[in-house]
Amino acid sequence: MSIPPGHFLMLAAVLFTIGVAGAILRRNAIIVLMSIELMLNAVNLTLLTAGRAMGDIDSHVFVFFSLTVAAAEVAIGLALVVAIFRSLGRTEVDDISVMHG
Amino acid sequence: MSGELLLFYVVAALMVATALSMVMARDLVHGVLFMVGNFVLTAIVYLLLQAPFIAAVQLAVYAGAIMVLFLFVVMLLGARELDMREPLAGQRFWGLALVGLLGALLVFVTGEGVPAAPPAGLAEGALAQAQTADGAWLGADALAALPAAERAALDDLGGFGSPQMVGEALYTDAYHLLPFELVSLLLLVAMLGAVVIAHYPARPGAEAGEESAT
Repeated sequence: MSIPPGHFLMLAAVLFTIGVAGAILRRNAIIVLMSIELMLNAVNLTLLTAGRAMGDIDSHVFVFFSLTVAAAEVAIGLALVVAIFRSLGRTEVDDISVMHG
Repeated sequence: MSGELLLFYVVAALMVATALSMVMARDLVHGVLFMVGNFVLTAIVYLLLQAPFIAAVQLAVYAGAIMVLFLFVVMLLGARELDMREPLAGQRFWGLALVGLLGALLVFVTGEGVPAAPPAGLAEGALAQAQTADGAWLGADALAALPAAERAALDDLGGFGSPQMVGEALYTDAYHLLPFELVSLLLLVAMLGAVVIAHYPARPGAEAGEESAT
C-alpha cells in the first residue's frame, strides 16, 4: 500500500530541475519568481519525504516555516516587480541593468 | 499496482506537465494558472505523504494567498504576449545543457533513496522506533507493530502528521519558540517592506510630494 520514498525524491528532483530551468532561461521577472516558488515547493517535498521516512514530525514544522518565508518572499518580490514596472515600463530581468557599473 | 501508487503516478505526471507548461508559458495568466494547478497537485502529494496539516496550509497559502498576489500583479501590469526571443546568443543551449547536467546529478543522487536507518541522534522520539529495519514507511503495518501504549499516544494526537501533532511539536518544543517568533517578525517586516517598495514614487522629481495613482 505504500509508495517507496525514492519516488517522492525523484519527483522533487525533476520539479527542482524544471524550476532552475525556468529561473535561468526565462526573461520575465514574474516567470522567474514562479520558478523560484517551484524550487521551494520541491525542497518542501524532499523535507516531508525525509520526515515521513524517519517518522519525525519536526520536518512538518520546518516546512511550515519554509512556507511562511516563501509567502514573505513572494510579497517582496512582487512589490519589486511593480516598482520596476513603474520606473522602467517593462519587467524583463535583462532590462534591470541600472546598477551594472 | 495498488491504488495509492497509481494515484501517485497520475499526480506526479500532472505535476511535471503543469511545471513544464508554467515554465514555457507564452501568456503570463496561463503561467500563473498552471502554477496554481501545480500547487494544488503538490497538496495531494503531501496528503499521500501523511501530512494533512501541511497540505491544508499549502492550499490556503499557495493556492489561495500567493495565487491572488500573482494574478493581481499580472492584471495590474497588463497581461501581454511574452517576448520569447533569445536574449543572449547561445544562452538557451548552454542553459539547457547545464540544467540537464543538474537534473541528471539530482536524479542520480536521489536514486540512492533515503538511508535505511536515521543517523544517530537525529530521531530520538518514540516515533523513530516505529520504523522498520529496512527503512520502510511509518505506515499502517509499522504502526501495528508499535507497543500498545505508544499507539494509544499516537492515536490521541490524531495520527502521524495531524494538526494536533504538528501543533504540539510547534508550541511545546522549546527549540521552535525562537524561530516561531522570528517568523512573525519576518512577516511584519515583509509586509511593511512590500508597502514601502510598491508605494515609492516612480520618479521622485516628477511626482514629489504627492501619492502616485497606482
